[in-house]
Amino acid sequence: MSKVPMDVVTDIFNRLPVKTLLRFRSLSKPYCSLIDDPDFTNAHLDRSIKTRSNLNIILKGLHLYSVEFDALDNAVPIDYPLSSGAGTEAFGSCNGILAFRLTDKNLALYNPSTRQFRRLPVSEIDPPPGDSCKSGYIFYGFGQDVKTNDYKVVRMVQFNKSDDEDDEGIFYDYEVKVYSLKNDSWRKITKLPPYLRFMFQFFYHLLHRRGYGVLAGGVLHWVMPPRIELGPRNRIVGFDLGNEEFLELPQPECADKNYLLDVAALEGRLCAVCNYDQEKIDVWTMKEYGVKQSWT
Amino acid sequence: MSTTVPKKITLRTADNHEFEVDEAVAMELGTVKTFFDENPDATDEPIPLPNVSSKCLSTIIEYCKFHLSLRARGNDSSSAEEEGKVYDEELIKTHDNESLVELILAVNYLNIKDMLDTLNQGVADRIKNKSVEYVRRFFGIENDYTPEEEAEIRAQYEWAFEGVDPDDD
Repeated sequence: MSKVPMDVVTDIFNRLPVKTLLRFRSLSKPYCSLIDDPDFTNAHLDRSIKTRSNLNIILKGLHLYSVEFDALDNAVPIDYPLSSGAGTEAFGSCNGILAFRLTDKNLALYNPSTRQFRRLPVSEIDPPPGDSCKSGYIFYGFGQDVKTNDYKVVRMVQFNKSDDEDDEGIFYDYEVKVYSLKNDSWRKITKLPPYLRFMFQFFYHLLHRRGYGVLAGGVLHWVMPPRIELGPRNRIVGFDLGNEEFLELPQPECADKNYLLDVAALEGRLCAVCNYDQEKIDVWTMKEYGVKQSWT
Repeated sequence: MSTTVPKKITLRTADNHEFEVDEAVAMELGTVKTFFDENPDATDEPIPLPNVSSKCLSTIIEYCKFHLSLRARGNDSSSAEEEGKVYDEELIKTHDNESLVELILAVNYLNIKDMLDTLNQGVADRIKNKSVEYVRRFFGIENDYTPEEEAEIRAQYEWAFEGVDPDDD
């Protein structure tokens, strides 16, 4: 054993980039156990987030690129298995892990720091029995359940009646499945709220790519398009990754209700972006999660 | 006890040198502070520091004095911060690997959190792009892998061994 106490070594190693740590696993067996220890990796992640070190921006062109935050002019293509086929979508990211959609049935998680790649088991899309349906738009989301430290992927498939092309999509059925990294398996969510039927609107989702859930406070969020004829306006729908249930979020109190809503996350807080007819944009952040009065 | 004259505290190093320092400086050393907290009526006897050499202790006292004076300036914090950074960088630069490790051991024993922070960051920056062999020498780590085991563990993340600086020690 080295003459330097292990707690000092731990503190020094906490400050190293992931690539260096992977190399230093070959120093000796005790050092390898230190680096592989989940307590150490969690502390390393916490420190990276707090000090904003090891930051990268992921860019998407025909290929996916990674740019170090401290050296913005140097974009490196992300090299992951199966990367040759263009058109991979990164539909979510959390704690440095990316969620990829290669095709509708072929999803994967990728950690660019360790270059670990994991394909998710294929989960068939089961249309509701009886009607002749085909699957339509698919919503995806990826995030962490902070309580159990598990990572989850949510897939919501909307079904079209194949013979009904003009349908406004109001009576669409949905299938929602959640993948848990810990169990490495999918689970079907059966308790779906009635408003889920209003989730999809053709131009709203295809033009703006709003189908990827926004993660804040352990909950994934989607915006429901406004349906003026039916009353419900811009709604924010959430899916709690902890209890795996849907919820609806309160909205900021605006004087003028005539806006298009979008959601985003800023430093872990949910934001509502209100776009007033392309003229003016208000950004609200929710200081205390789920509390209407905390929108500021 | 008179409080008008700043109280002096005497520290004795492993190689039997005595250092007389202001109480404020001595209180920067966590180990010394704890000693006085636990023994409020300790006499003026020199405090033995059996794990610290005189070379390290003089560096440490300089560091504490300098950073105390920076903190005393308080308000113009941005220039003080800048000076502190320059001082810390110089401190790291003037120590080779062996003396840096010795200093870290002393600072860790004396429990000076800020200084340990600075030194640990300095070490991290120094070894970040170095080879496994360099870092083994740096910390005095004994390699307990068999050649086969080591080859296997290296193969798991082969790409992490690309772009390593040549050893300069």
